[in-house]
Amino acid sequence: MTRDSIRGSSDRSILILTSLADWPKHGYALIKDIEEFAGVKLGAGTLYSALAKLEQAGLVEALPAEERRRPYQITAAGREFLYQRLTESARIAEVGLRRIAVASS
Amino acid sequence: MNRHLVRLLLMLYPRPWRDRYGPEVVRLTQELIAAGETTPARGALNMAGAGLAERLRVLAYSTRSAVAMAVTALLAVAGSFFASGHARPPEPPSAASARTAVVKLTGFVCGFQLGSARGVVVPAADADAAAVAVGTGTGATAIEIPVDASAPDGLRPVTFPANLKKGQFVCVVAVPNSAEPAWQSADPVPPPPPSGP
Repeated sequence: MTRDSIRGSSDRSILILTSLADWPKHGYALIKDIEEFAGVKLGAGTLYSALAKLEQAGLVEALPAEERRRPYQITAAGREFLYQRLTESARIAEVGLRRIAVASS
Repeated sequence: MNRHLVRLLLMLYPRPWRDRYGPEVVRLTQELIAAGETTPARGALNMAGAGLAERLRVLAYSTRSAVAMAVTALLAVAGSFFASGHARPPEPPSAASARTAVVKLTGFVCGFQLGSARGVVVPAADADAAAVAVGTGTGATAIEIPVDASAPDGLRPVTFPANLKKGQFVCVVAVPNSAEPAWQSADPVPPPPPSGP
């Protein structure tokens, strides 16, 4: 199992929600933003599979198309979900980093 | 990517998904190719992989739904048997053969909640209640709701619960009217002899 294969669809959802946390974006802007802040390059099919699941779950919603591009925005439920997941991740990261520091000292 | 290949790739996706997101995926893939972010081959491969994944996801969901529906239907029928048993008066002496006649399934409807349909009509004149099972692919809940007795004979409308969502399935089993127990005609008890003057 490679490091990249460990990143599942859950990770992709978090990346998309994080990208949408500041303002709405269309597909191309999402891919570029995620590549910039996470170093992960999503394909169009992969991105829309994740977007479809997030939309069905009510975590993101589509806005009216602008110049044939449809922007997506995070919903209140999506913001709450992202906040909980990131808080949980931060707590785990803190514990992990502390233990690594103790073990290597 | 040429149009023929795009059409073939889109065919890999389930139709509802394709109708909703297909044009956006194609447009984004073409944008990425035009910007040099990906090659036509990699773009096509990504679309194909995602399409197959969506197909498998829908297939897995529908299989779970079919299994859940079958289990729910059995539970609903069992509920109907149970309700019939409770509505039945004390058993006559020769009830062994009558028991099969008591459990009369007067109506049975199973299907998915689609569009704006908000109920079904149980085709039974002698039903006074209906056991309704409502569920999704992962679980089911059985409830009992009264049938509108003011409707014309032969039509017993059953309204779905208000919180029923699109895609959920319902199973409706009409419970026989306890006022006219069918077992009496199936195995009549001899009337007491008339007492003479």
